Amino acid sequence: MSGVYALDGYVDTAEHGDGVTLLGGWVRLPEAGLPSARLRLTTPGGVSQDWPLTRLLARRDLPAEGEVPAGRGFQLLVRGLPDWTEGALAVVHAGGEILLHPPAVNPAPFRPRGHLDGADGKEAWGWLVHAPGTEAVIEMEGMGRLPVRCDIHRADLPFDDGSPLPAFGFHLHFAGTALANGRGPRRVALRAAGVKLGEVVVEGQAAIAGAPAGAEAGGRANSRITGLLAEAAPLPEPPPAAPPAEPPQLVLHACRAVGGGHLLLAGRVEWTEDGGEPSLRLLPASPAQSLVLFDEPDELAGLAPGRTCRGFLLVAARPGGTEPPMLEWVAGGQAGRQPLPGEAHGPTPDAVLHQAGWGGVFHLLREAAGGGAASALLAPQLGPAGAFTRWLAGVPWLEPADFPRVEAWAAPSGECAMAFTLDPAIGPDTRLTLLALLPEGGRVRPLPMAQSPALTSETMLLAHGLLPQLTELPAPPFELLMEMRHAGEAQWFRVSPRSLPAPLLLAALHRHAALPEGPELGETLAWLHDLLAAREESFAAMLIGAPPPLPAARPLLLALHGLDDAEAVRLLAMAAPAIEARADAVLLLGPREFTEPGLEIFLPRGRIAAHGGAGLAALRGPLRRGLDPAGGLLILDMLELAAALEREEAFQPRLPLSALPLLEQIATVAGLPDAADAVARLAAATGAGLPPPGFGAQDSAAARLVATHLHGFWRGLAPLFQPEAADG
Amino acid sequence: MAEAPIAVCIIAHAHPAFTKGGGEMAAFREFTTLRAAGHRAILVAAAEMGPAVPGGRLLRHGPDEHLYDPYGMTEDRLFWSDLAAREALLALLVAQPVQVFHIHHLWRVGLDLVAALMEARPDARFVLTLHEMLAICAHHGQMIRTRGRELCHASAPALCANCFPERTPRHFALRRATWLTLLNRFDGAIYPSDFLRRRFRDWGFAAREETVLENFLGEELAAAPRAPAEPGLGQHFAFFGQPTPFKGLDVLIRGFALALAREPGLFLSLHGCEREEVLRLFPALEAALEAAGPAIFFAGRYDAGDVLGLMRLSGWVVVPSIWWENSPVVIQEARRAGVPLIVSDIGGMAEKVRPGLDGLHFRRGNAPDLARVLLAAAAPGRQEALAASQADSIGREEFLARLLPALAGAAGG
Repeated sequence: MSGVYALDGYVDTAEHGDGVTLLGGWVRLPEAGLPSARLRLTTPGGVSQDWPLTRLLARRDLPAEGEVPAGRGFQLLVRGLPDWTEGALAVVHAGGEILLHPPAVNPAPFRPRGHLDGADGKEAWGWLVHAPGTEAVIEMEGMGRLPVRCDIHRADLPFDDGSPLPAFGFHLHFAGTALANGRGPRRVALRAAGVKLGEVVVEGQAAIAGAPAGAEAGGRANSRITGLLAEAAPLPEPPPAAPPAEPPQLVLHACRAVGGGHLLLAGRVEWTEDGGEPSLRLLPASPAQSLVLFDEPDELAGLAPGRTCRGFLLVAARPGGTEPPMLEWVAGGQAGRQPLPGEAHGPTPDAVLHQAGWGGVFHLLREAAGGGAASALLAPQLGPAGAFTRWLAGVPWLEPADFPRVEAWAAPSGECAMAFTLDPAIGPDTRLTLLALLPEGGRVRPLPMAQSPALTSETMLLAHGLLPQLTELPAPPFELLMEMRHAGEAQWFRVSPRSLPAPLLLAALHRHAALPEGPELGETLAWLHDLLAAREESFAAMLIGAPPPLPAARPLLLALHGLDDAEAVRLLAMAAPAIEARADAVLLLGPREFTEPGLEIFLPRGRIAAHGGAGLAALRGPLRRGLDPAGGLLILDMLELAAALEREEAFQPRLPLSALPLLEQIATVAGLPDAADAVARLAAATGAGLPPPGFGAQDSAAARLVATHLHGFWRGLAPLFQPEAADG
Repeated sequence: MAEAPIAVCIIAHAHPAFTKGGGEMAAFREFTTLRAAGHRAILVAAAEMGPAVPGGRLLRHGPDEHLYDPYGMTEDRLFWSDLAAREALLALLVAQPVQVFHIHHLWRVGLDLVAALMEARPDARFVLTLHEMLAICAHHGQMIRTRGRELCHASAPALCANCFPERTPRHFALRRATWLTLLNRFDGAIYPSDFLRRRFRDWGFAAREETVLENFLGEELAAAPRAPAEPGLGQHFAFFGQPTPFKGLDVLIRGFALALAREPGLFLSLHGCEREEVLRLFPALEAALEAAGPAIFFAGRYDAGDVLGLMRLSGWVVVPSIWWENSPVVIQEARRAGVPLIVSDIGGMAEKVRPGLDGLHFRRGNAPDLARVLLAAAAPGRQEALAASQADSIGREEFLARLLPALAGAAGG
């Protein structure tokens, strides 16, 4: 089985020219390697140089996956390198060296990058990465130019130059210039090496302390900064005869302190429709924020023609420092700032969310689930689901009457599946976004679902989701919160999925696909194939670990399966003395009606430890109750036991006891919630038992595909249980 | 007889004071014969003694004779569900001052009881007499198919599941493993017939020590003189036994009716059953019985002590069983009585009756063939000739001479 992560690092930026080199990309580096990490460039011309990587920033798009560490991004600007046209990059650290992909990098010419975040009658501010020897200026239309000097460290920027506090920010004061005297509207532009990087139209003296509607400065919308690396491209030239736009307006309904030193801001931005979206942020800039925008149809209906609006919810860390915190917004090519009105302005956080557009709240909850700044809203003092508790309580439960037919399933593998048979009027463009709600010690923990593309037909939608952040199996039962978008409308529901073992969940999916209203077979099989491949990669990454140690001969745990008949219990009664002479503990696996009488045989005798059960949790019993994990495991079917005793064989461990937790996890992903079934499959996969149990009737190509996929887990992961094979 | 007396605890599934099946009779006769021969024999036998008592009931029935009630056993009487009852019985058995435990039947004794006794008395020898094939066959050990009356020649999980569709082949494989796991722990096995021994071997059980030893009929019958056959009884046939579906009474009556039609002087007496009982079991026989008229006589129940005398009132004893009959007591009694036999040609019957010496064989379940053999038997001089060559049943001395080594451990293979 192939691993998910073929790459441990990647170069996505390599530029060289004007005496500087910009190298950017990401690397998956163990936590222990961070302090010593250095970026090394080696060229065929003999250059080999390395630089410390002190700003390796987490990338939300490259989360840790089980043992695989999270990806971290870098953007390093170095000076003084001789010209080079080809090279290889690697990250070296105390624990080794990680070669970055591609193996040969050809640098593009260096181009400056930066952004003019804003300007008013007194000052302009923004950031800039450029070659020191090239010209970098603020141009004031008709008024002259001011050289830009970057001297502000901005924690929200990913760029690094090897210094402790890299300074790529600037804040220019116009004192003494004509612009500062407020003579008429002027365009202010940021230009470096002849490239215009940003422009703001300044209409007059700033009215920063004024009403919310006072949007004095405009500017190009930047990306939301929530941990992803952001990079601004040069701004295209504006159309020459564009009429001045009506200024944007900001309405701030609420500004409330929430947990973890964060603020929740809610309100609305109105601007002249330009096809874009507004952006907002707190100043001084917070390293991370969660911003969601949502439609406000009622407000929109009341606006003048050409005007539009969007509601917003913004969560960010409360700005530090001595400067008064401000809210900055950019919309319709213009920007504005507004000081915050205090931290108890407007409704309470739960009321804010209760009153906000549901699409916004849903996606803010997704932000929170993903660990963004919005997770501050999940603070327990605000309710089981934090500030979302009240809103969640109002989300309707999905009823079958809502659609002709709805099915939802969840598996302990952290998967969910849904099948909707849709009204033809709704159509095949329906999009489903899922969020899991996990109960956790009286609280509700939202987790985003990684969704495969849905399979749709004219009247059916099949969706599959997986909890990607799961590190332990089995997952607890969870509810689903979903957004369903179709025909420009959205609906939100909660649903309590029916719990099924993973194989049955997959079977339910393909059996629904085979219904008359489902897609045609070829489409279904292709979809299923991709889904299973993604599933295999996800789970393999979680399950693959270090090979186990060789098992000691003692203590020996005898795991007996096939205890599925009263006659098997009788056999156990007859064989008890022989078992006790050969094993240190026995694990009886099967239905309770048979394991309990089996335990009744061993426990009163008290000669060896006896454990038993039906579910996968039974596999935990021996280790939890003190059996030394260095010992060995022998798995036998009851009939194999009888044959071994008839031959008067000694028992030899075949597997390490320490493998039992992994067995439980694999069974959760690719087996039934049945410990006897799990050990039978493991015995078969490791070549020590009877043929493996099947996965039900394979009465279709889809069923065969699923069965092959599931069997593949056992075959593929079996070497993890066999120290000999792992050593080889 | 062994040089030194031995002490044996005989465990039996029943006591002849209550029921008179072949197994309990054999166990009891062993008990009395050993005692009479100067050995210490203790009998512990199952018997229903009034209402069930939780925890079981043990009763001293006589000197070295104990009874236990089997109410605390599972429905199939192979294991104990009332562990208190089992423990009480176990305590009694463990305390017996014997070197050998000789068990007749595991039914109504309990595989788990014997396993526990083996653990508790590792110093003792354990010998089992396998009177029947319950270990091999879930159909009362008869090895006859449940649907129809077809004989079963060898057990196999798939075949057994065919007889019991509600159970799986795996169930029967486990059942066999259960029995074998216990049987393999016995020091020796005694078979009343070589037929039984072969069946167990074919099934997969080869005891460490095997002895084929016919059941002893007991002191009283053994002591009875073997009188010469009464003249003129060659056309007089008799049946001794219960009217069960497997005893072949229907075959006998049909065959006899056919023979009677050819030879009007024939006569058949049926001992141990009444006409109504037979018709309840085989309603279709009414016409044959009507046709036979007074040539068939229902003699009703008889006392076991009278059996030799009753047999001698007939020229032939017919054993028409359609099942294997592991080692029928009736055959031993007829040989003791000196009355030749006509038997089905299968199992213990075929083994115990040498054709042309002890009697005649007919094809099992085949009424016309039985009619043919009855007519041949009725021929003048035939009965007298076979009566003269017929072997007697095993005597007391021979029985003890072979039993004691089997118990004490010198039986060899």
